[in-house]
Amino acid sequence: MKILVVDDELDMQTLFRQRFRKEIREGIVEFAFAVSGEMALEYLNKNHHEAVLILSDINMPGMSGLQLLEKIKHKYHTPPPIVMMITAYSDQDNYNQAMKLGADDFLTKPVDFTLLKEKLKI
Amino acid sequence: MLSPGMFNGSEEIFISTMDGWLFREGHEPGWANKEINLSGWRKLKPAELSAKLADKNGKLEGWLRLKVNMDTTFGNMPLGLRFYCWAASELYIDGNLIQSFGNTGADGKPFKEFNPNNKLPVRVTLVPGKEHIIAIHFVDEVVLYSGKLKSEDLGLSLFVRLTGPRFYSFFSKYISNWPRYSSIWMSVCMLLSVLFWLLTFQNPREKNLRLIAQYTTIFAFSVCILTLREDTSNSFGYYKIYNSLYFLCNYLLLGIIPMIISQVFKHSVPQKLRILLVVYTVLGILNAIVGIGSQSVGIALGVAISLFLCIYYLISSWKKLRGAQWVIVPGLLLTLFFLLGFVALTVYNRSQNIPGIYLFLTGFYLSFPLSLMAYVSLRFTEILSEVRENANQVMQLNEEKKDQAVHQQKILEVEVARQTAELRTTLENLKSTQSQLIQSEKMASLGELTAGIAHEIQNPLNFVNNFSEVNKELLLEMKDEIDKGNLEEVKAIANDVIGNEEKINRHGKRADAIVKGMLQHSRSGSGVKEPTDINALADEYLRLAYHGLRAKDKSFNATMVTDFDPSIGKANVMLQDIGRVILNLITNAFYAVNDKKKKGIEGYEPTVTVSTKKQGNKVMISVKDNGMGIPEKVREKIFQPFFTTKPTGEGTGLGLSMSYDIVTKGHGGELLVNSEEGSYAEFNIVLPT
Repeated sequence: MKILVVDDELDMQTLFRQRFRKEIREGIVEFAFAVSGEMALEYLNKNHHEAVLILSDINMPGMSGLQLLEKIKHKYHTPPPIVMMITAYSDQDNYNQAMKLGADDFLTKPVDFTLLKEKLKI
Repeated sequence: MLSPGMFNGSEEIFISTMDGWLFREGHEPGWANKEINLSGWRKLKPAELSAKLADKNGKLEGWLRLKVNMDTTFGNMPLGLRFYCWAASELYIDGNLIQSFGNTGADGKPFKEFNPNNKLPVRVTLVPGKEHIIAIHFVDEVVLYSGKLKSEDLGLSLFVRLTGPRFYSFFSKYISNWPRYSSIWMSVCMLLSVLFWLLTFQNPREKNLRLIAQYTTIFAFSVCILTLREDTSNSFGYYKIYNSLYFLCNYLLLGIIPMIISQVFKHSVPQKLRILLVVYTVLGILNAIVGIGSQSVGIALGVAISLFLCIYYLISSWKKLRGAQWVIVPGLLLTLFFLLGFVALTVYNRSQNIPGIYLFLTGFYLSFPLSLMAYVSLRFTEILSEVRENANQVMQLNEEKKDQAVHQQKILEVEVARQTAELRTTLENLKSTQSQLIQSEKMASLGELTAGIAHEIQNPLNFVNNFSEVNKELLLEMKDEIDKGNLEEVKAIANDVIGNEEKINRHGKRADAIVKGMLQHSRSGSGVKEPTDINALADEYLRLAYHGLRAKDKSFNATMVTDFDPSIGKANVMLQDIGRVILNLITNAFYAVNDKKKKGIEGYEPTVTVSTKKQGNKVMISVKDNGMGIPEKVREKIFQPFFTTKPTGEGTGLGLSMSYDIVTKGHGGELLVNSEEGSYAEFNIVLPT
């Protein structure tokens, strides 16, 4: 399973790699990283249909996570990738907007990796 | 036939009007003789002589004869003949020349008129019981301007009079006393007129004085004229001039007296009366100078009018008269009394009491002027007491005003003190309000930061939590690997753990720095400048501001562009203060782009650019947004305190003004603004390093 993580914090990459080190080692998951919405779209354009799951931060300089979500859901219909939003702002407003734009799930920071793994059924 | 019974009160017999006179024109010395041929003579009384009898040259020369029989009752009474006529004449009794009056020219010398004034009768010897012939050689001239004989001026009926001894003694006494009395009258009147004029000039407001001064002057003048007129050496011409002037003075005086009375009694003179007075005065002048009408009738009329007016004023003002005004009343009454007394004395008193006559004349002349003097002196006493009273009142008022002024000054002082205290309180209130405002502005900007700060702290904390959890997992795994003896793997895990610990430490420090920064922001400036990394400061506040706004408004997003010049190094600034300025400018910039974004302009990309640049020995920090810009007319106001374009409640209006003060006053720098309405706004902080 290929997961695209979009976050402007570089340390998130380390964190994901270490948290999923077993799963990566065992070849269950494979990670790709983007530090902005723009880079994520670029990646998706290049590696069409590769990423099954997209984990995106909402608050990022430039294109926000929600904008990215909107574009992904708008552009890629078949099969639509699963998009999970991860944000530090776990307020109702953010949640509603994300859901309205077609987010598949909504997680809050700090990321509960046990919960995430359950959701991913790994 | 003449007898003593024919004497009038002053012992005179007017024989000019008697029958029996014969007249013949021409001149013949023999016509004086007792017995002459009477052919060519005609009956004509002296009173009937007139200019009609004069020749072409206006000269009348002729002889008058009268035969008189003296009654025996005359006894040896000394008798006289009085010639009262301006003609030149010679008196003959029974052919003997008794006296020449003037010069008839009979002796070859030129004609000379006779001044009859104040001339005593010529003593004549007329034997009682005998018949005498009185012959008069009479020469007269016609006066050009009147067309009459000079002798007609006094009336020829008064021409020749037979006088008794009493008349003689009375008349001589009268004449000898005249200079004495007339000089008394003149002196008194002149002194009074000088006195009144002096008073008039010194008291121009007292209008009564001027009239009174005029009156006394004219009066003094009239007495002088009278004295001149009475001079026995006057020619006929001078006599007429003096006489006219004298009458003129009298008419004026008779007019002025009622005016003085009306003024002194504060009576307004009715218009009709004024006109009457003017007409009367004009007529009087005509009468006096041109000789129209009878002078005696004119004067009598004048006296009557004047008297009537005076009585009218006296009666109408009687009840209103006060103080000095009363003095005029006895003056008027005494004048009237002396006049009546004089008339009574001359008409009825046969004894011809000379001192009495002069007493009454003096009283008549001087009562009124003297009463005026008394009036003026009393009036001045009144004025003085009025002035004194006024002065007292003024003094009293002054005192009251002074008291009032002192009182008001005290009230003012109290009021000033109260207001000063009030002002001081207000000033103190203002100062504390100002510091409160500054504090609230700080707090407002802190509020703007809170959400951003929370986010900024949350992020490192998340990492701290996540990495510490990962480390726990890694260490558990490492234990397994140690048990397995897989040292390679143990080493790899240990390196990861170390790396994670560094990350934890870094993120912890980051959170620590943020909290410290927040505390610094809310604290008052230390006032100490320290070398500061401007780039780092700008970057930190840019992020804080972004997240702050982002936290408040979820829909907000903007592109942040930074262009930091690494060569600027550190600048000596007050960290909190400059941080506050940068934060303020960036917050404003975000606000501006957000505002413009809300307008829904297509293709609009909200962008805030923060850049730094070295300018010689200065550092420029630029905050630029592509918002709506600042309108020209607003641009000059944006640094004023409390000026804000934000909706009420959203801005304190102190941000830019405080920023301006911090940059200019606090750091000796400049805060400049560039803008194009509708497209961008750029704030440049220029600081000396």
